[in-house]
Amino acid sequence: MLRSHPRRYRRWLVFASALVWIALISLLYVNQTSDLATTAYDVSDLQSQKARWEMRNQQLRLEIARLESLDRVDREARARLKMGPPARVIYVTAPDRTPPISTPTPDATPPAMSPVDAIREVLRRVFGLGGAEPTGP
Amino acid sequence: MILTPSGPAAPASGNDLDRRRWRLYVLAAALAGFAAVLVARLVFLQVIQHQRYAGMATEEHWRRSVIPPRRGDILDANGIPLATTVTYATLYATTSQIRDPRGVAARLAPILGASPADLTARLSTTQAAPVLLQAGLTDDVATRVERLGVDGLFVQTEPERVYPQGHLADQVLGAVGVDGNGLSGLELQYDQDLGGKPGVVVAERDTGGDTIPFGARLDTAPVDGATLTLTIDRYVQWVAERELDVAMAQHQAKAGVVVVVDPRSGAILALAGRPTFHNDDPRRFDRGSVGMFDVPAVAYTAEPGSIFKVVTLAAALDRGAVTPDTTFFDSGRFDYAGGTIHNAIARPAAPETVTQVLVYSSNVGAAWIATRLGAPAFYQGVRAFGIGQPTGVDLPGEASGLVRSPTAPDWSAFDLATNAFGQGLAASPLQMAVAMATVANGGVRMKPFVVRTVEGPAVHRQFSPIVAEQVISPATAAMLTRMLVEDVDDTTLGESRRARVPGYAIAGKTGTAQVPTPNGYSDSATIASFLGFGPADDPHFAILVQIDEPKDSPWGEAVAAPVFSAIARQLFSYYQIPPGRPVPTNGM
Repeated sequence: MLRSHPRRYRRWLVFASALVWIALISLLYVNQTSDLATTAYDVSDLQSQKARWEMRNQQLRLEIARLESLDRVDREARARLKMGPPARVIYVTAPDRTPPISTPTPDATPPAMSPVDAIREVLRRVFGLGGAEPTGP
Repeated sequence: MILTPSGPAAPASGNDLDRRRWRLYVLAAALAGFAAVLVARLVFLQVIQHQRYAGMATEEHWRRSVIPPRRGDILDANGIPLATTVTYATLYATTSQIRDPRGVAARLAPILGASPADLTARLSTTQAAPVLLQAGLTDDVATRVERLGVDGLFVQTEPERVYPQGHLADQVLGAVGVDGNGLSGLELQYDQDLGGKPGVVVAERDTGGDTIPFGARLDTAPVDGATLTLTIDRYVQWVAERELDVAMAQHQAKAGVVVVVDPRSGAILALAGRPTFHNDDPRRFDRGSVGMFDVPAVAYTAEPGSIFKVVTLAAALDRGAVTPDTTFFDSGRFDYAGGTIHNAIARPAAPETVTQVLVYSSNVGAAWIATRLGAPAFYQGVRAFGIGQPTGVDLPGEASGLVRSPTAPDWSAFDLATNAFGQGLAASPLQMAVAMATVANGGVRMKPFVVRTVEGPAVHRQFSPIVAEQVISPATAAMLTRMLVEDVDDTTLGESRRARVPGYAIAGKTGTAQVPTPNGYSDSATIASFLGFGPADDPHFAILVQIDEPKDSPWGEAVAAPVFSAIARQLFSYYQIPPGRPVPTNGM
């Protein structure tokens, strides 16, 4: 019967396809809208969590600053650690121990290596070959 | 055609038709009138009252929320927070939703650390508005309350201004009101920078009044307040306040001030004042506390007394009116312009050098020097040191002081003699500290300042030292410094010897000013002060100590000089300044 009415069949097919497409698009839209709303509430929740963590952070920073206040440090030092101002201050003039800046001399430069020694040195550094460094007693 | 039960109706007569037509007219007129009323009402609602109803509709559909900016921090010279803003949770209750106030109170009390009876009373109140249960909750406490899951309890976050260093520099930092705006001190002076700009969110809301996520919205982000970095050093301020407190208690003084200035830059390192308010005192806004919000070092002026002789001598030495060795005969009294000047402490009449005038703090000698200098040069010198005019420091309520010049109608020639030793004029403690810092800085007066940088999202300002004036020559400053060191080192009559710090050269001068009353000067009350700097050969700080109305001794030497010594000793150690002189072996 459908074969006898190919035009009608095609019309129904187009109509059914259109319905399916509309249904799918509607479903997609509803799904997206739903996801959007859920995400929006998630974002809102995360923002409030962030605000709470920031609040906690501020409170902890304040706690640190209060613990480092000079009044508290002084009180703790005197009461708990039994510390007090120094009875006597001694000033010591430290001698200048700065090492002199040495300028390289021709004697200080390493002796030139032969090509064979240079290859052995490269092998030793890269692969640990060519013998160990001589060690002291 | 009208049908009747008896059959077709007879044709209507002309009168009947007229009557029917008349009824139709009446009906039409009534309908037209009704329509006119409706139209009028619609015009009234939609045209005349358009703005009102459109506004109501917008109000119903849109939610406008103001987002407060975070108020900026105030840091000391080393970046340590002196004032900051912390968000705390506040717990409210909608009491109409709480069915068992006693049970809820019993569960809340251990978390809040509050009395169950008190909580029950508050939860039992019948009012539409939410009831405040407790403010300033930490995040831990707020979370524990929320975990109870009690309907009718809700937590709201609110910012609070806090001062983590306790009572340190309360007057300089200032206070903010309940609205978060600055009321005094730096909080007031830099309120615009610290306060930032609030943001606004206009968003669609649902029938429950909640914002529709991803609905149409218009955001203007808040701009947080800027951070101030001060020149004030927390340690120096703490030392100044502690030593001032000790001296106030020891001498049962009425008030006191300590100013510490870096003479090389004009940066203020400490400003301590007593009495003071405390930011954590709930009664700080009481009427009796209002006067304590001022920074006394800049807001209050007084006769400086003998510390002013430094200014007199500087002007006279710079103009060549005298030299340190110029000699005059100090008879103990000086008659001038119809008045007589006496020394505060009687001494045998004897010749004195100008240096000895400083060392003995001779009023007669100072008056003689001023008359030798002459009024125009003297007052020019006083003005050059910044006395009688605001220093321009960035703190609110600065007083200019009072100096009457010869052109003033109430000035008399005798004023020159009294002004020479700090009487008959008024200066703020900061002005005197800046004057001494000028001598320490080779005669260059620097503009004092408290804030070094203002850094924020919308602002960036850096304050560099500003040279106000070359007041005296470097040679005069060096000469005066040597005289001031001699004053402190003097072992005979020197009044400043208690300001010494073993191992260091200190330049300084004591002052004991009488307190004026409506009937002349008080017989008992004085202002004891010491003004100095150190080390004399490479000054790192200038300090003014001023103690008002000490009870046990009136003298600056006994009351203020030891405070200077105690502060200077700790600052030498803090700044790691090695001694320039041999340190006695019996310690310090």
